[in-house]
Amino acid sequence: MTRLFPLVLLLVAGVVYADSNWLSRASKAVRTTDYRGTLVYLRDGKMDTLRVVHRYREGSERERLISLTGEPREIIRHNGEVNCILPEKQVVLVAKHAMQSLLSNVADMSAETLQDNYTVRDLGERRLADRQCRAIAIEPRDEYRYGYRLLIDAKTDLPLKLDLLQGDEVLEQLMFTDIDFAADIADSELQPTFDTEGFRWVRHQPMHSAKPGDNDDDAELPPAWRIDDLPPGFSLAESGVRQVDNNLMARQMLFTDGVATVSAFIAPLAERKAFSGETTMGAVNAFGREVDGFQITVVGEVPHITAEMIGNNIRRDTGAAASE
Amino acid sequence: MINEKVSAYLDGECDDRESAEVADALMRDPEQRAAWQRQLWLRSALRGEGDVPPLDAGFADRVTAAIQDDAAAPAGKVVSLRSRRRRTWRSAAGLAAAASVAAVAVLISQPVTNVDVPNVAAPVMSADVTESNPVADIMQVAANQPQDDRRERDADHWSVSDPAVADQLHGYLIEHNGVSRGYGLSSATPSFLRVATYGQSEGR
Repeated sequence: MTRLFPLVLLLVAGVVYADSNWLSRASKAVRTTDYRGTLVYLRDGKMDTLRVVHRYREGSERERLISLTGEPREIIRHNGEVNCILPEKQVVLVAKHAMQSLLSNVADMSAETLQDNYTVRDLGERRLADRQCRAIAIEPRDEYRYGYRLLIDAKTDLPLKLDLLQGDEVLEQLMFTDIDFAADIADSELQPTFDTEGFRWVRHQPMHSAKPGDNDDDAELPPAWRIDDLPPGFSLAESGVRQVDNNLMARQMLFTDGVATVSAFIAPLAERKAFSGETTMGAVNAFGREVDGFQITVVGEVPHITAEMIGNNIRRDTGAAASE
Repeated sequence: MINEKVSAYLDGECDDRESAEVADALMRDPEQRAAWQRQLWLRSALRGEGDVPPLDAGFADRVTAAIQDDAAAPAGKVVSLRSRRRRTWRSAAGLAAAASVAAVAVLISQPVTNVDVPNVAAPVMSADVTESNPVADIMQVAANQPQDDRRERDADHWSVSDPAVADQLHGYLIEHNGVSRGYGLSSATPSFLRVATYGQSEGR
């Protein structure tokens, strides 16, 4: 019976996948599955290996990521708080994020939008890390976005492999080489290896949320901006002002087509190093230009033409500025 | 001793405590990390995944090729999404979280407001915040490649000649990854991993 059970699960999984919402199930699995495993991250012939431990218990999500190659680094996450431990530099980088806002954003995405810009294919069953998986391809309909290929574990719905593609070229790959879906992950497995006493702690405090109509007399805040012509299928998802560092307030505009995301940052040029043109890091592209004394920088996991089009079409919102 | 444990770990023979010991040892000892790479290479070779080039000549390339072979799946049937309109929000929810692929979502930035509001209360920074972009400080990259600010692909650091620009871009990327986590598969190319792997190839 034990041997038959996985087979039954696979058969059931096939029906479920064909029926529809593998993505929704994968979504839940990402947050709620307990596991420990080894990740391999490949891009441009470079490879990094990392160990990951993830646990979800009583509504609380904890995660520990350890770099096993290169400089030792360790990242500890507890819900929306992330500690990045860099022992060789004796630094801990701390960041906090509002989890509720993340979850509420999810409902804004549309499967119809996905269908307009991508073709989704069920590639059938595959094996990875000795586990049966469902292969799903998300193929772009134009050159403004990348393609994706996922292997989703048939039993747990956890994505075990992700490929990021541009045409036939594989830009980045992330995969588990081994994984253990354990139900007994102890607190000790989620604790950092290093004693961080004496380390320099660098903190980002949560940003104050603003609502329409709030008053603020800070003249250093970047003014309002707009974009006239987005790449097909992209729309503005979020826009706001954030403190990037002690010396810099920047406006961030987040755009998405439901799958890909890209941000535009707008900051006073006087406080930034000028950046003009295109640059890239793996699958991430950036585009920069100057507008009216402001540096516009577009960054995201999108093709360079998408970043460039967004960067070139951002304008100062003079109407809004006049009303400020 | 640790080599034996590494081998046992790769063979799935370690218990939780031993796995943790291996991970901890690998973090602390460069020699053990090198041994780890050799063990990974040997393990792949023993699995008979094809011709295995010498370790130092192309380990990463070989693994890349093996994984790409795995990805070369046959064309399958098209999944109709239009028939699922009533489940739109569910699929959307799945898309968002699948994007983070569990271990790869890191939240290095703070949320922006949901509307385009020029009047935003200034954030409060704690007393021990560094004077400049902390990510940039930490991830100092000796980007000495002979490049201008044109596009030239590099895997784990920005292809720009000015380290200050590279630092700015990396800080922006982390901010982007933090905000975009809820929105799509792009966040599956994760800031989490990028933080852990940024510039790592330079030390090898």
